[in-house]
Amino acid sequence: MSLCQNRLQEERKQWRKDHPFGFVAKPAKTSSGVLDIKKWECSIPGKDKTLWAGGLFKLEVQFPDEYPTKPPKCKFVPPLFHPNVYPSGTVCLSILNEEEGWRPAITIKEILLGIQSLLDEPNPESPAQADAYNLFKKDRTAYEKKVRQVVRDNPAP
Amino acid sequence: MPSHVIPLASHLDFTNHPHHSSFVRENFSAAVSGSEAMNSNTPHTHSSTKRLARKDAETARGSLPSPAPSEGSVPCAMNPFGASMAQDQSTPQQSTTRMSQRSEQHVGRVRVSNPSTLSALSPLQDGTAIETPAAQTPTFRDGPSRNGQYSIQGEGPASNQHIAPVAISQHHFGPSLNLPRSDATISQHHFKLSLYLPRLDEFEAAARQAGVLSDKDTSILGILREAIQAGDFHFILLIRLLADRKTGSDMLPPVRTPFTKNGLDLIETICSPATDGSNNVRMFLAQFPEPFPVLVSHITALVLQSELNAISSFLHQLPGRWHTLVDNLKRAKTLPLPQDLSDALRTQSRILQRLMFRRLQNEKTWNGGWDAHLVERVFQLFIIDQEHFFRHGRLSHDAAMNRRLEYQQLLLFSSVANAGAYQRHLPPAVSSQSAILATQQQAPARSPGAISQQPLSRMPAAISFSPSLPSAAGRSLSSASHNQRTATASPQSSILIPAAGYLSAQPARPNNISSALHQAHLRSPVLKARKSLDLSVSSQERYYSYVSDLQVPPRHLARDTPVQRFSFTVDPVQFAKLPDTVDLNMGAPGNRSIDEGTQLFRFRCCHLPQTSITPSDSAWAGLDCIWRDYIYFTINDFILEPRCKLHYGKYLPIDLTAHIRPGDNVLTAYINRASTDTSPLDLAVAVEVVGFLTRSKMREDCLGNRLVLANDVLGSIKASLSPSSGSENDDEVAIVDSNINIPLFEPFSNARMFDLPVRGRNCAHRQAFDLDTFLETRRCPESSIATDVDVWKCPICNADVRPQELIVDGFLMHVRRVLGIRNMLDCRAIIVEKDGTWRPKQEPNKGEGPYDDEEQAVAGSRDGSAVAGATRQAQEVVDLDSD
Repeated sequence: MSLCQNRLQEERKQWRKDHPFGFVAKPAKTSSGVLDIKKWECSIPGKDKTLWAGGLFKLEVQFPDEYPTKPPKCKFVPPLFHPNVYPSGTVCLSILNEEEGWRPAITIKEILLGIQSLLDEPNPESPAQADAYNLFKKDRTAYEKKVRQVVRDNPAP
Repeated sequence: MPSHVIPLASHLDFTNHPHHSSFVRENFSAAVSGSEAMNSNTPHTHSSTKRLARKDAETARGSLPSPAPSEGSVPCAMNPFGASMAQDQSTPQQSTTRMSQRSEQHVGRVRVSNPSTLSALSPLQDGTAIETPAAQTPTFRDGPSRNGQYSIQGEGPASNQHIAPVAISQHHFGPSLNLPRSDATISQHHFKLSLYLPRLDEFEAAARQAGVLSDKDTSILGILREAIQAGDFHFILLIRLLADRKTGSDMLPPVRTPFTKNGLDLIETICSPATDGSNNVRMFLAQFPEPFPVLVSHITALVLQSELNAISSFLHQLPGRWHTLVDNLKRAKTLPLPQDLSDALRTQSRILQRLMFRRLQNEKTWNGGWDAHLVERVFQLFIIDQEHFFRHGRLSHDAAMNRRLEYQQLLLFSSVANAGAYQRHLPPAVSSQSAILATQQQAPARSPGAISQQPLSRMPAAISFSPSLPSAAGRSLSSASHNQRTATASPQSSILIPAAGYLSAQPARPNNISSALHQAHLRSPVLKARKSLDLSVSSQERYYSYVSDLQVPPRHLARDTPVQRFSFTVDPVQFAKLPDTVDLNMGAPGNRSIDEGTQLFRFRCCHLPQTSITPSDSAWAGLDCIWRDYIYFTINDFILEPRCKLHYGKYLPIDLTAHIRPGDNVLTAYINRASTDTSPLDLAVAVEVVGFLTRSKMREDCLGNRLVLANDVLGSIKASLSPSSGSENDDEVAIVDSNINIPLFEPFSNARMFDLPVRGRNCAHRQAFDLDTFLETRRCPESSIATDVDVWKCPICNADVRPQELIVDGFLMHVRRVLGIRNMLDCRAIIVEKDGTWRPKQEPNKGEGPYDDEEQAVAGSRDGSAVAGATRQAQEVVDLDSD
């Protein structure tokens, strides 16, 4: 088994053993019903006591063959209203960037927790979508209103 | 100086080798902030690579100006009646239709003075133009086609909208109802759309109060308001039909030919921004401005009937015409002018034209990633043209050609880099011709036919029906942040050659095979294994490249010295280690034969604040290479060409090997900054020596020379755990625990223990990684026998772990040996007490959660006997470790 698959099996094992409350992470099934270990379907809950509390956001995590030397690509499906999420849904976060903060030792749990923190702590230095970024910069009230709407639209069960 | 050519060449290249447009959006952010710039190097756009090739081909085809669509099919450009003559050759049935329409129109004129609405959507409006009230308007010159709208359109302030294309404004209209109308054609109207504005306001206010008004609804009502202001009765009738269709109510009087499904489907898609609202709004639209019985009493059944017939035949023809137009536009890689829409689709409805333009703007073919601001500005261009069109008729041939070219360029550029970079080519400075348009548009405002009494300040700003229009288009990055980069750009530039100071956006994953074609000669030589006489060395063994030494240690570039020289000496022994570069095939990259003794020289420039001291070798190794376009370098008078981020995704070091000579070598930096540039020059350069190692050699070195004995490791652990030394020397964490947790599994698979535990000399953690796994995962270019040079970052902390920095942890080796004897190699971590004793860490007995998607796995929890205390302790240890 390749290093990539090996590691992903292990990630899966560790996740089932212990994972933060409210999070979901599991390999997706292909159309023929086989598990695709390189593509995970995850859900990230909004952090308590933040604007995002009560929401649950679906995330697709795609692992390249070179994982864990290269980071996975994380994508909100559907794309999320957030300054650091590209219109495609892809998350812009330093620990997910091979040239920046990525390290092979980073686990899926850490990635998901990192993205959860990013929700309420957007980084205006690296905007990824205009809608959310502009609102965040120019009209915080409207931004927060919109976030609440997003949370209402994606309620945690 | 010849090096001046470099930046220019790169711009040219940039325009000639467009990247895939779907990269653009994500790329943009990369361009926006330096810190995040590399971010998009991660494979964000995997999915689109397939399309890339095709797209590039398309773009290439479209990069030359091709004939504009429908230009040939529009004979009426010069002769307003040419079209109508052509029309007269239509089928007999059509002619009959026209006859009857004319008579109806006549009736309409007498009775309701609303002839204009008759022909607006009719395919025959060019014919009817002859006897429509166009003659009443002195501004009617050469545009036969806008006549249909004319009398109504003058009524609303829409005719002045070009002035202030600001986002949404919805409150400006109320008072204007009381304004006297001076437009002759309007005074004849009994039926004034504008009278229904209060109805709209009322509805909107009520719905808002009831809280049932979504953003989308608001924007729909905004569009309706615009339609009212523009006097666009046809459009209102059309969305009323669509609303009717959706609600399923069958309120329509019968039409001569039934509405075709195809036509309705298409128009529904086009109009979706104006119809996809909540039920409330749909019901309202279906009854606006009046229920049919009431409406008929205002404008007579006959007129209404003919309106509907016109719409019906318009819809009948629409799908075919639409697809022809779209095909033409795709071929010509441009966007339509209002006159094209009018010619090709026969629509005179302003609002419908705008929606159609929006729709076309969003065509996937060219809109992979427009910046939202660009989309808006292109749309404003269209509005400006539309104003011109409805007031003065068609754009002149030259102006039309210019605008089409401009659209072509925009589409091209938008797919090359981020269109945002192109923004400064757009209004208000746009091209000269929109300035002309602007002045032309002022003129008719003074002509008696079209005086608007609306004070300027009240000019409706609602030109763009913002926010919920189909903007999958180009929601991208804020131009605000982008402007930081383009702020210095001067306004003058031609269409193809960017102005000085132009900064193009950074593609996420430039495919340097196409984006760096102009630098093909700079390709790195392919490294081959030198044939060895020693048969024990496999010729296939991989080599590991790394920076083994610094020939010229990092030196700051002085800010105020334009020419700076750095000399260094290469002795004969060293020179003998440099490989020759052999060109085997014409055009192919050169070849170099290497073995463990081989050395290469390379040159790097990095960001390093002037104030900082000379960095350690390790710190220097961790800095990213960067090239500035105002600094040129030569080695022994040979001009060095840098490979830059724009084309390669990151700045690449420059290989000097081929230019080195035995003895003295001189590296020269020429700094050519603008005299006004007072920013600090925080750059340093160094000449590095690249060496090669095999795995076995590296292993040997590690164990022989860089093995830290178990007792030394333990000693330092104990020291860090003892409060006195720990709290004073360790500014990172205040140690409260008396022990330390060390994970044993190697971090790549995280599924097994290391074999040979190594880490960097400068790593702050106690955890180690496995040497072999680490070496196996080092990136190696295809067809090369050696890895990349800059692949030496600790998988745990990203610190420098070049081979000379690697140390072997004797203590962890000992731990592994002991655990192996005890058959406990599945132990994930150990705990070391401050007295130096250690024990395997108990796994928290949580077991694994259920497999929700496959049968129970074998690997359960390891130690069923763990007690709560152990669990708690284990968790505490995890906490400590997670720092």
